[in-house]
Amino acid sequence: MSLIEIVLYLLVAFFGAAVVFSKRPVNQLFIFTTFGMLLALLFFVLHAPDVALSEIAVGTLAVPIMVLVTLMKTGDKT
Amino acid sequence: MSVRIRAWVYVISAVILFGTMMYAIGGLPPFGSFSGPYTDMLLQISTLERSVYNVPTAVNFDYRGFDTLGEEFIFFTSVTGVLFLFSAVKSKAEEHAQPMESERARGQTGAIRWFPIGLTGFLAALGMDLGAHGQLTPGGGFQGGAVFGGAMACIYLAAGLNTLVKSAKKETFDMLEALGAFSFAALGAAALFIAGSFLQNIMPLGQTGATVSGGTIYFLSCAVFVEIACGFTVLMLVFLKQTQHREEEAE
Amino acid sequence: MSPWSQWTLFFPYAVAFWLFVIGCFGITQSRNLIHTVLCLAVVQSSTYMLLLSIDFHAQAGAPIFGSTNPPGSPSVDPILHALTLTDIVVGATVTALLLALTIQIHRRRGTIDPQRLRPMSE
Repeated sequence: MSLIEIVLYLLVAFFGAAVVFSKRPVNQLFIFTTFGMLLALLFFVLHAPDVALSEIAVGTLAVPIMVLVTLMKTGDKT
Repeated sequence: MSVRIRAWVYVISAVILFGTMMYAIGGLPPFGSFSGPYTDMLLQISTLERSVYNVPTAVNFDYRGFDTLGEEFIFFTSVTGVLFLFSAVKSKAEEHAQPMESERARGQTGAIRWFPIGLTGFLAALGMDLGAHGQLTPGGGFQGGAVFGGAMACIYLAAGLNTLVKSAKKETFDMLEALGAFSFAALGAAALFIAGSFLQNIMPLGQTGATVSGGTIYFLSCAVFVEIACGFTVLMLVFLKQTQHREEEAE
Repeated sequence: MSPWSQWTLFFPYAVAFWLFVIGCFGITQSRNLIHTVLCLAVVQSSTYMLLLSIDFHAQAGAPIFGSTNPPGSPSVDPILHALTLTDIVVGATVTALLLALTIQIHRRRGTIDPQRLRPMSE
């Protein structure tokens, strides 16, 4: 198991915990987007280009827009 | 029960669960050495049998096409649920909605307007390319549709809400999405009547590496692309329309 | 086998299980329904990671064949790729449905704190 895989797995574990433990929803959204990009990178390193494409298109394009609109509608006063 | 008691109950059960999972890892194959007989057989014969280069696409639309039908209808049902939630329960502000004149509705000016405009055409073309050539390159209907939905969001970023509502009518895209879902099932039913099995590959297979190859895989990929792209567009339309009413409530 | 190589043999599965457990912890401890929805997305991605880590071959390529990669060369498992990529897109749509429900809850009850959204009889 090469070094890049170990580093990516550790980063994904760290960012997953960071998504859960962040306080404000706006912070959490940006950490979640980074988590999605790291996950796509990990999928690519694991020789799965189809899955990486899916994760990039969905996790950095569709889900953050919808969460931002929800944050705006539910009156995030911060 | 209070929050702290709930936290401690969860932590204790999570430790037990994690320990059981660690014990279960002992039964898994070591990382990097998986071999299943179905996989070996599939990798050897799929390119010869189906004339495609991209094996996951062949698995998605031919060998396990029935599972894809189910997933596609989960998608369709969820989009219908979102539409129902946002249209059946209108608040008072929504009923008096009119086209906005604010900056958010008209769009920004300057570089922040022209960059997403260029990106829109590129993303739409890329989405269509991924959806149509799924059997040759990494791609397929699902990825292409998601990228195309992102192109619609770029229209909103560049030119504001009025342009998005004018250029992408909700009724049209709703109908197109249903058409995509229907054509997937119709192709499968046609295969049932012609060849005897649901979703069997009945069209001529073509030459491996040609643009149109793989028989029904190509057409099923296009049908799924139409459905997913229109579904994501409808989702973007419905969600981004909410920003209009928020401004009215704030004013 | 040295302890180092033994540790790397099960580390990816441990990361997937860790994500699952920590995501569930976030769901139980959340004070904001949007936070809950994002923690559910983390739990979903832990299942994708487990699926993709199981089928990995160390010296194999991607399951896409071409002129430089003729059919028959070793590659990772394509069936789990097919499962996972449809699952990701459908999971995003279910997230959209949950977010639409959140907006409606806010409109009705005025709050999106799960601790305060008790059943109406209390």
